[in-house]
Amino acid sequence: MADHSFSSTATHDAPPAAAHATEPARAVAMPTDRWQAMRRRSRLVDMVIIALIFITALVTYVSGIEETAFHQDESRWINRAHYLGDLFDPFGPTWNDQYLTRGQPPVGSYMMGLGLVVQGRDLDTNPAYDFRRTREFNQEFGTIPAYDDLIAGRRWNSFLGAVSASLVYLIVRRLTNPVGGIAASLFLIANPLQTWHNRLALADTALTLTLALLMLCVIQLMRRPSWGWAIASGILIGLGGANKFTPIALAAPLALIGAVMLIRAWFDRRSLRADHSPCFLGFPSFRDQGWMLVSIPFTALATFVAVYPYLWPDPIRRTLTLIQFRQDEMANQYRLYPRFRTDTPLDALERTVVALGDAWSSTGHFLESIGFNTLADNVSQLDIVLAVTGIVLLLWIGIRKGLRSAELAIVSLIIFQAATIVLNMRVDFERYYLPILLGEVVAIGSVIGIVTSLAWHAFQPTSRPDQSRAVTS
Amino acid sequence: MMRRVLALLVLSILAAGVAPVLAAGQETPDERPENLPYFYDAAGMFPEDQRNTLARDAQLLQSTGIPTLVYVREASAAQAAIEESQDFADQLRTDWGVESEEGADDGLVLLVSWVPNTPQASTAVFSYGAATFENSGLTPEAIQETIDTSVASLIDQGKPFETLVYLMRETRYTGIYSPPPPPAIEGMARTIHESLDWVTPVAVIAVTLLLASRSIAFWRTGPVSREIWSVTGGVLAAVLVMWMAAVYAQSRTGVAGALIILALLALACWLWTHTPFTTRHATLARRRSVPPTRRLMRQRHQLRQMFARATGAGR
Repeated sequence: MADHSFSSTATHDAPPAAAHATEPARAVAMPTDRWQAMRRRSRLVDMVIIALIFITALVTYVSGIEETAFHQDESRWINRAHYLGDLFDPFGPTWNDQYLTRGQPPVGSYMMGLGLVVQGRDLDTNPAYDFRRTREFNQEFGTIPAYDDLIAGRRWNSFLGAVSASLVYLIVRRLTNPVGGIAASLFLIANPLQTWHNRLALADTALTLTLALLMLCVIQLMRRPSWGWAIASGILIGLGGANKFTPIALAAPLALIGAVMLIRAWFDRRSLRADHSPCFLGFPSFRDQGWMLVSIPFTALATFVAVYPYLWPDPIRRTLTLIQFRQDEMANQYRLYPRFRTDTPLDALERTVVALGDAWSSTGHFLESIGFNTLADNVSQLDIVLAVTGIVLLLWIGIRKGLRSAELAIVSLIIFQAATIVLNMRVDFERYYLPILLGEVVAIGSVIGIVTSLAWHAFQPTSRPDQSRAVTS
Repeated sequence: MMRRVLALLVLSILAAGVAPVLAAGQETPDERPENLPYFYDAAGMFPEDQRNTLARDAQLLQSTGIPTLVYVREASAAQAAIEESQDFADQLRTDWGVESEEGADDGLVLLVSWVPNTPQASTAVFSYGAATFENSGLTPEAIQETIDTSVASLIDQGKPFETLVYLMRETRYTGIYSPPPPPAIEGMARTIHESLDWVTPVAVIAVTLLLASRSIAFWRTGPVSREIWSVTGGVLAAVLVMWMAAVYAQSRTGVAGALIILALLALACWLWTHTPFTTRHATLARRRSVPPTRRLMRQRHQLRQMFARATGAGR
């Protein structure tokens, strides 16, 4: 969006060719020079903002890693760090059909292993925490991670969280403008749920990072279609699925958009009675964006299987085993934690709104931290209101722009991710909200960015009507 | 008065008869209950709350996938000796049919022989069948290690309840969290495994040569979309076949080869679709590509022609 408006502004600001007809060739090339200079300046500003967001987020997250209370799941994730090394022995015992390998897809463990290795730790850590046993038994059995491993894992997640915050800026900046990008990042950094998880050695931060990268990739794919971006998007969805299952569903909306593109192209070609057909059965050639989007589920599934050696011997049956295992686990948790139960999707949706709009509200948390407790209680729902407005606005822009718009693709990702989680939720553990939270801050940033653009053009005395249109066209 | 004396006499005779039996402990397993229990306290050593805890632990122990019986008895020091206890445990496993189904021989018995007077003489042994550890990460060595460390220490401290608790919990933990051994490579899988050791390098070299030859051709004539797709499809099919063979034969060489070929293909595709390959023949590329504006113009032209045909205009 911003690039488009830059280019249109540059074209409008270009001096009339006749005025420079007698000047040297360099002067004739001036509009391009100015445009390029503007781009360079814009990139520089972006880089500075990204660096500032990264540093702010990193300092925020790292400052609390030692005070954050131990979470039992950290033991499991740090224990499985050895999966990274076991990738080099894909037919070894780790990848046989066993409880831990079946229990959780491995990408979070790879990331944890990578984090430990990068910080000079080895992959031989503590035994896994046994949730059926007491804390005392686990302590005696040595399942509590060593302090250095725990801090290294948490520090790594803080780093990944800071990268995610920077990526959120880029996503919203690409959708709207830098103000929206900064707002989205600040909402993410201020969110207590995200901050808490970025200070723990769990796999959820890696998932947030993967989803943020996916959104950025999809924007690129929609704006500058190429097979490279399509494959990258598929790989990221596969990696997301191999971290926490649900992101696999994100291949569906993209493939759906692609399929509609192809079908529409097929009908257009038929109605135009075009004789030549660059591809089979009257569909467009493989260079068409529709094929790229349709290919995403295949790349995602191939990646999901390729990074998970447990699935190799029998990908379909073992994937079904995994799904069954997850459902059983969810049923167990439903039985064991009555206060977290969600009985229907409506119940899950209500709990999600309450959680993100009340317990884990960025606005509420920020106001509380500066002492406005009463105000925080009253306006904590602002996050949800802004997010819903943002989703509606993005959807509206996407529908107006058409199938090939980045806005439509991003909003479909946000809606599908939230819907998948809400529909599958049987217990509302906090971490389940993290992928929804990412979509929420992107939507919040978008609405702030769009409003800023509209306000900027409305209050500019020399503004032209077509510039304000650029925001929504 | 006479009755009371008689009763005392009977009691003392009974006590005299039973006491040596108790001191001698249990020599043979009790009769098998109708439903095979997970936990059996032959001497009634534990109060109800402890027995419930032990029964719950024994039930959880079944989650290792191995049919397991935990049996505790009181024994004399001689009966609690390792060899004696081992015979007792073996007999118990056979007589009580501790296995998933008849003839499966996949059961496990954990036996604690407690010596009340001298707890330090107490022992813990286990008995297992030929197929007990076939699909489990649990091994006889792991159980023995538990017995030699945690269990031995608790026996020395004279704590029968804790001894049983730790024996069960650590056995369960190992059974659940330790991976089972990988399946053996035999028969056809072995042949393919060995073949892949030399087929893989040959395949990698062949694909490298193919991609290099295509690159030279594309350098001369410019990349041709149809050919790129053909090469990509062919190489991907080869990678898929190699991957499947490697997984079937558990060949790390095969997997590594497939990944190398995939990386080479990605590199080649990237080269063919970027500078200098594309810019070298920019004119050709420009001629082949149809910009969106021209496509629209072409469509508009077609629409005009259609309109003209329909209305008969321009005749």
